[in-house]
Amino acid sequence: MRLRYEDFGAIVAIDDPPALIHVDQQLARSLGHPHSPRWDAPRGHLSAPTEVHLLSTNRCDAGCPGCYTQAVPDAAEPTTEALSHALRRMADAGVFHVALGGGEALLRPDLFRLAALARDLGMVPNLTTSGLGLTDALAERCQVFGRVHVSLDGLGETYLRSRGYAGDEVALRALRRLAGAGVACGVNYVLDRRTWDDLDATVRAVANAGGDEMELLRFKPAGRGAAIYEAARLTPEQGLGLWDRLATLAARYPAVDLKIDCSFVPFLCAAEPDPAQLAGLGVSGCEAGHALAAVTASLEAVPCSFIDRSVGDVDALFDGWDDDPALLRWRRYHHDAPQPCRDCPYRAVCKGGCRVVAKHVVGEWFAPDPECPRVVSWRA
Amino acid sequence: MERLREAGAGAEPLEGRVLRLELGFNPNSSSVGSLVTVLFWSATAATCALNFASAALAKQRRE
Repeated sequence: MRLRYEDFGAIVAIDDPPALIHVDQQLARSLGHPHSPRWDAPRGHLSAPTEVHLLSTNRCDAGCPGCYTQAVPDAAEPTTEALSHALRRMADAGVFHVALGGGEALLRPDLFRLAALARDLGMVPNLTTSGLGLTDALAERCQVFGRVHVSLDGLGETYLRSRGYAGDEVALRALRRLAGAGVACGVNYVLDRRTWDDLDATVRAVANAGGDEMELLRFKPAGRGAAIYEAARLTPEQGLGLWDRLATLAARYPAVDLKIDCSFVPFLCAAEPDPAQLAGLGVSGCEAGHALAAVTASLEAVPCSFIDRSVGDVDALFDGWDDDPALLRWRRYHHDAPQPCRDCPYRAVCKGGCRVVAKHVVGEWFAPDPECPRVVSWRA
Repeated sequence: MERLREAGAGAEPLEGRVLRLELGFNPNSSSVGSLVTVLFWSATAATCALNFASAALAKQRRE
């Protein structure tokens, strides 16, 4: 159990089952932790990110047409020393989880050494991979990770259309190898208009391959994805149907936990669930520069992986965490949000939707997500 | 949910409140994930999740 003081009390990390539990000051004291000076001088934001995304390389052989990092086979990548330094800064700041990605992180020969270092520093490393190159031996070594997800955007022709190569069997084989090695595993699924119809069949395939979790990601207009965004994004009808689709899948496949990424929260809120329940059960909208930060393969610290606005290097990120004006602006968007976010009952959960979509569609980072059904309805 | 319940089995909740429960790790390296399966449980079950979390903390504290 790890505990990190916050304005409201503390965040406690447990590994079995894996969870971050936000507790009030009284419960923090009940757990044996004394009064914190932070409780006397609240800062209005978290003391550090809870998770950092570390893009360990921008090398990848897959060449997906929607790749947001524009990964290529021969990209330069950071040294082991530079990534080790980044991990140490994260641990010193109190970061709980590190998601290692790329590019294809498995191409790094030092990947498992870096993951072991994260463990030694008290953090939980997690991994996203395409599954390319994941042998039985590498699957065994993946036990160092808290969880591993394989990218799988549909089956057969759907995968081929979405990612530009026939890789679904490679991904499912990787999933079977991971499950066989006892690694907690699942898939990341970019849910867009091309993959919408394949969702049921893919959840079933994931369950059959031994995966127990599926995270649905909204297609983002970043990197190579910007050029095909309009053709790939969900239709308004699909967006409005997200809640029902998830509820049906949850009932049909109870062995596979469903997650959505932060950018899908506006669509979830369109079904008008109880905002307090969403907050209590950890549903997170945009956490850029707050619960989330990212370090790119060029070692630039950014508020989230899709945002190409650097706040400096990893030292600048943590040295400036409390006061950097750029970070404050990213994390405080929802405090000063324009209409209709300002009066939206979901503002504190959703936090205005996806900043990257807003930038691409309306040209402003700090505008309401133009595809949020509530925003669309308000503007009509 | 079952693992969370088992993690706190037999423990008396401590004084104080669980404010928020974020279940799971997030291996996705591009955005933050939220477990939504819990939203489709009954409201009672969702409330139970916070109580189970409190009990799990109490048990881990005791151990």
